[in-house]
Amino acid sequence: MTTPTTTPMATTRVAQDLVLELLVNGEPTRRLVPGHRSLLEFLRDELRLTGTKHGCDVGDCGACTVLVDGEPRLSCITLAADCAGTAVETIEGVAVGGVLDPVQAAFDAHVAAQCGYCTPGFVMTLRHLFADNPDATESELRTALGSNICRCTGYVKILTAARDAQRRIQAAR
Amino acid sequence: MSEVRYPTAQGQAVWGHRRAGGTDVMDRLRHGRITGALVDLRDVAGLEGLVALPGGSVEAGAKVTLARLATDAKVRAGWPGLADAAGGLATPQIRQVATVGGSLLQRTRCAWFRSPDFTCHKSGGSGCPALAADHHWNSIFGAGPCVAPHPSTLAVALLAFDGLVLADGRGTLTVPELYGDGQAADREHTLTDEQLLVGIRLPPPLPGATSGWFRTASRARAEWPLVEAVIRLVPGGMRVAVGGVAPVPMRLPAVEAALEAGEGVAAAAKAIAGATSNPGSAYKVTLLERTIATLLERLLAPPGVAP
Repeated sequence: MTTPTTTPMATTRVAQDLVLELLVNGEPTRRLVPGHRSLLEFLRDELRLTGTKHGCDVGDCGACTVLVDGEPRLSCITLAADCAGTAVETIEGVAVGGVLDPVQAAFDAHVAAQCGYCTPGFVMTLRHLFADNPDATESELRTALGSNICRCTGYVKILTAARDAQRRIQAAR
Repeated sequence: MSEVRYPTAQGQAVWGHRRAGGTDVMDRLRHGRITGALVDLRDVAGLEGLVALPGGSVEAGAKVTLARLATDAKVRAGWPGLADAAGGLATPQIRQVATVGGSLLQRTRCAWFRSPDFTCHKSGGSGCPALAADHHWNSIFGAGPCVAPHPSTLAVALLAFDGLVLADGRGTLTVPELYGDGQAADREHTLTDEQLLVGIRLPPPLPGATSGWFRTASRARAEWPLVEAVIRLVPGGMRVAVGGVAPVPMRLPAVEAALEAGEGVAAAAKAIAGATSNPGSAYKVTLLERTIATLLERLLAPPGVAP
């Protein structure tokens, strides 16, 4: 935190419309995007990947959660431009060859979706949690899910599905 | 205009709406409250340090995330009330991206300010729809033209530890110097557009101090506090800082004095001196006293005894 010297703005990189190159669900993707566009808008409106949901739009509800380089990110408050060179995973990229992943399979088995609008966000949050910490404790599980809100209040079944998904992932190790 | 600038040096990070974690700016952008260039601080060097200084202070750069601040071993050991606040606000995902600088300089969370359908003192107009509506979030101390309480939980914690704010172009500021008296109709802090908040400094912990954070809110996570407090208990250095009740984070000197006098939990009764409210926010007067009492009960409970 030394005192900086002022440098002319001319040296600053400026992006009004920029060519964005990134991996989306493993696919190399190249699009011209406005600098202000959020990652959520980019995914839904440009790529038509509408599985990622537009909820509160301010980062509170977690419905728009995607993974950016493996980390959960609220795509509504993330600039698409900031994702240049990253690998983004959305709910569309979770099932491989039509086979549900353990988190999706557990949600299906326990009917852990009511209206379903929050479900993609919950699935992405849990995918990250179990990839990062497959032996997560109940406390760690509940803390991680603190980023996602279900307005149907279906938390009991969501937690049941999450615990079952964890068992499935542990059994497959 | 949809321009984003990516400066690499602190001196370039001016002339635009600064953005780091995006938890404030993206909302205002979407609602048309921001037009013009964004200045994305992603590539600006020198704002990510979290370092111990000789003598026991710690400095955290403006881009240090709240999650990092909350889990840093130095911060947890020396300033637990601040670590608890940084690690308990909003949601885990927001704390992963929200930064020290953004938390301190975010704009008011008043719904009328953020709505594209209203104007107010802070959005280029005049008047205060929140005052007219007698809203339940309104301040009960020192309300100026704008009655919205200050939104920064980190600022409350910083105030409780006599923390300092480091600003390029301005120098070292106390929390009251950063925010002023809260009476400015159009802004929440005293930095100019040319001045860049580069970090915070936590003074050395006082020997024997205990501290904590407690908030009352309508939802455990992803919600703004109705009332919150960060308290440091140590003889000769009692601090009671509160948020959700005034246009700036504020200390309660009468409660601090009562704690110095050994009044314990009963000191909370001094919290409400000078409070004024309209009917809509009158509940906050009682809530403030109970919030402080609850935190004091927790901090003063003998070890191993649940309050």
